[in-house]
Amino acid sequence: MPLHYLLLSGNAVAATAVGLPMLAAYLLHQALPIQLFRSTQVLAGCLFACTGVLSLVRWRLVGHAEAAYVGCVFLAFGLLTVPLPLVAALLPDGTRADLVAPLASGAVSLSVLMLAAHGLRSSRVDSGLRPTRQLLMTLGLAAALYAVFVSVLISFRSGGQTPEVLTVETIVALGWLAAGVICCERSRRGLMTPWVGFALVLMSGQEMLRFMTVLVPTPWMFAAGTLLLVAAGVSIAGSGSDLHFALRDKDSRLLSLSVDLRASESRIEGDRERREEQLHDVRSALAAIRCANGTLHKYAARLDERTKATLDDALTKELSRLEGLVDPTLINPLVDFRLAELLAPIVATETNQGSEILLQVGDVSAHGRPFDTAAVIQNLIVNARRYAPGSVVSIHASRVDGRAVLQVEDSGPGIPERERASVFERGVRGSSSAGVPGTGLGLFVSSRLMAEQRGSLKLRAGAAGGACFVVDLPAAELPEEPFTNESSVIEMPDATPETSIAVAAGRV
Amino acid sequence: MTLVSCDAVPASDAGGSRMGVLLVEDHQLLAQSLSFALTAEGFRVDVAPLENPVSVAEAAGRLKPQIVLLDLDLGAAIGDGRDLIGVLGDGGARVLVVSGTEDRSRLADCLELGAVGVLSKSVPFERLVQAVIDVAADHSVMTDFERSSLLAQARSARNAQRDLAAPFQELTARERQVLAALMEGKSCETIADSWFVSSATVRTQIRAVLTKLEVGSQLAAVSLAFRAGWNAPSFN
Repeated sequence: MPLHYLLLSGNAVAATAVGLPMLAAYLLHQALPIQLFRSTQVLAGCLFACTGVLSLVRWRLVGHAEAAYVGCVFLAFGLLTVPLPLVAALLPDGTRADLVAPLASGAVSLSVLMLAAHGLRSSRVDSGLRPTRQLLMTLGLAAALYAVFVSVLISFRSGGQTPEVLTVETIVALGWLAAGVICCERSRRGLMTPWVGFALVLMSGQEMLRFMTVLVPTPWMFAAGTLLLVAAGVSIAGSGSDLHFALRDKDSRLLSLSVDLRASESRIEGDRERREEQLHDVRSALAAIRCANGTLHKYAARLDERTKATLDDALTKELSRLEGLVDPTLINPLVDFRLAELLAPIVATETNQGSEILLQVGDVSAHGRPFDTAAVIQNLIVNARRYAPGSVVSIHASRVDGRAVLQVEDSGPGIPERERASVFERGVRGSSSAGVPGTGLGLFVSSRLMAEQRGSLKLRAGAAGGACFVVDLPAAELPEEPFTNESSVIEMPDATPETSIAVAAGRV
Repeated sequence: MTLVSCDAVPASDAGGSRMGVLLVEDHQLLAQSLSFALTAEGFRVDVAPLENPVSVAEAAGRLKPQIVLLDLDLGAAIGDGRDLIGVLGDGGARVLVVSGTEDRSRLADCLELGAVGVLSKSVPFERLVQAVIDVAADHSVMTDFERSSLLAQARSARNAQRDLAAPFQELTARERQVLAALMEGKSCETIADSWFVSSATVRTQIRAVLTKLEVGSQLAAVSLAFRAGWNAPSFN
């Protein structure tokens, strides 16, 4: 096995990430025993900032919001930690440095923790995420918090460690611990990279050790500094190896994308070939008609009556065949059908496949092509199952201004507004569909099928935040001969507009 | 489809001296009206039975036509009319291809296989009949320029395709399998797992493929393979 795989595959990295910072802390302690904690803070701050940059690079590569927030948190923390030791040095004479430094550090930690809390609530992919804005907001928040703390401190000018400082430090330590535990839990569920939780728990430990410096400064200071450096080492090693794996997977991700693309291309190609064949048929028919017509005219004198009649007859037949080729509605006519009867077998099939469907169609009839409409609805249900797994699909029909309107709504993550228009384009898939198999042809074909039968397929935001597809067809007048799918008609309760049939998964 | 006897009144000539024309055409109305028109022009016209390629060849052998009008798309039973040109030509007939296809390389193939000319089905009816009369009189139906440009075009397209496909010849059997797996979107690790080899081995093979195809990434190799129309070997 090549060396770099061995290095990146776990134990060696962990040992380096923990060992090297410890060594650095020891060396710093030897060189600058008094300034120790401040030097470790500067060094750790630089490492945290680098970690942040690496994570942001990974975000650009894989697009997961988690990587961006981790990057922002660490970059902000790093950027704010480096100048902290300077705050004490730059203070005007007469200010209590031993009070100001912990308060500044508390302000930094609290603002970064707020950003982390915000990040933990974000969705997996957030295309509106702007890390620069998050970063600037965090820096501003830190400055504001610092100002508040200092003004509080000034109003309580008393000797020793004020209770305020202790309160801030306790809150910060508990905040790091909580964030660390949540991150560990998320990484256990595979939602996050594992080193973040570990680093945050170390940060909390470091904060608690600094608490102890109130009692005996030097040894606890050394331990706290070491722990801070170890946290920084773990972060930089973790983010570095994450980035390495992201880069390595990039090629295979592109590859699978291109294979997906190829699959949709070949479907389009099939579509095109079918149309080409149709066109070929049309051309042949035209050529034959032209030829028959020419023969009838040019050789009228030399053909006997029976031949003329035969040709004439064949010509008429060919004309009507050509008409069928040009206008497919003659072959696939529009008929009246009841939505409830059309949907029952689909709902049964899809419920068996694991969808939970709430059907509320009443007695609405439409005028169109039942089989095409059924295929469109089925496609919508399958999409909902694929992109909003576990959500209930509700199908609701109504009659509005002479149109039969069917709403297919799920309670999943929904489709962002600016992507709504483009989902019907050929080959387009939404941002949240990364990693979900599919070729992106379904909605394009569906909207075409609806348009061909004088209907439409539109998308709007659902009431519950999910996607809501609206299928619209001309309503049937009084259905004389409603379409029935005889082989698979399911007994429906007496259809009234209020009838609602809840079909829970597995009950049909 | 069976042999259609022609009821049209012959224009002139007694049976023996008339030129024989065989129509190999699956569109009934076209075959019917052409046979009436050509009969009226003084040809002895037969429509070949299109049960299978052998039935067409037999009809040609029996009727010994001087001219064959051949369609290229002859339905599922026969398939491509190009395969018939050789057999029909060997029987001494001049083959005129009358087709609805727009595929230039297919048409050029017909010329290379020995057809005297190719004609689109969309030409005016008079021109179609005139072309048959020209072939009968041994006049050419295509200008030399038309013929040579069609041939040159098809040849350069074929050469380009061959150049593109050339580097794939150098791949070993295992490398072909690796490339085929990449074309299915499998990652290096997946391939290694399914073949029970280490991923380092597969990586070496992928690098060999990239070197031989002179491309920088797996993605470029796959897209080159698709572009060259390279077909993956079947394997398990």
